[in-house]
Amino acid sequence: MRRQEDIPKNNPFNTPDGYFDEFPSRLKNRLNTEKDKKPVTLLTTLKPYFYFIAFFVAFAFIFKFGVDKLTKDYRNQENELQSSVETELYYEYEFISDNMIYEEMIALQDSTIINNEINEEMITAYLVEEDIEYLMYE
Amino acid sequence: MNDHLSDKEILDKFRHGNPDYAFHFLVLKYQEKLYNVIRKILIVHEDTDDILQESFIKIYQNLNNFREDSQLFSWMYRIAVNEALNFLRKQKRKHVFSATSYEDKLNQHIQAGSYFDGDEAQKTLQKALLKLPQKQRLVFNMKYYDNLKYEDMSKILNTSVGALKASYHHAVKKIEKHINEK
Repeated sequence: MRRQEDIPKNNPFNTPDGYFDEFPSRLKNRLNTEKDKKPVTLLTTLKPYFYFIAFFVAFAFIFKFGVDKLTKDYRNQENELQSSVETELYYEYEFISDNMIYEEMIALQDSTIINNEINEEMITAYLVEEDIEYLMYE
Repeated sequence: MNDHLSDKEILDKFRHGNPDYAFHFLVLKYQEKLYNVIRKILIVHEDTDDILQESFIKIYQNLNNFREDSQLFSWMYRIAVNEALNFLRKQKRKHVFSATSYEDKLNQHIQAGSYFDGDEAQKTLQKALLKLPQKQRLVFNMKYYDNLKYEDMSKILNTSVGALKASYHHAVKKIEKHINEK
């Protein structure tokens, strides 16, 4: 049975020629690039989250403001309509009560008088026409 | 002479002298060791080169915070291993919906023998290592190739010595099974 100890322990991996000679200078260049980068502070880490929260708050504010304005406009329109109807009814009522009823009453009174006159004339004419003399003498 | 600066001298120069100058000697001293640590995890030379640079940048940025309660190399070793494992995790995630797994890609790379000196037996061993869970592969590499003590491995991997011994034991059993199936 083969055992893992039978396998030579030497490192089987190798590198391209001159790799470790040039690695320090490549690393130095990389380090200089890293140094030029802005340091990562707590603020820079949290910045995207701040933007997200600000966007969300702005969106919620605009949404709420928009919905309020819309419902307010609708309510205003409804109120205006209702008040105009009430005003019309009020003026109609005013008109009926103050003028029309009075005129109607006068007209009614006049027509009663006319009707009375017509009635007498008509009765007379009717009696004459029907030759109902005895009634006339009564 | 500068090639033989001790870790303490390098740290003193980095903190109180010229940091770039001191760091240059740190790189010269440890680049090959750290390359081999990363290469055994990532297999591919180009990926290893990227992660070696990333590791040294992390080391440069954090060297002032290094508390000398552990060895400098153990601390750098931990950074390199963490960087390599993070890279591996990202690569595996990228390959989730791919037709071939990331392990298959690494297997093909070993078979092709790109920057690989080993014989067929060593290829078989590397392929067997790819079949192991991440932790077992790491422990096996540290023990078998780097000859690290379990106590040092425990500090690097934040794992108990007992758990590391068990991992190594399981790894050896699985590798022998794989070798004998071939």
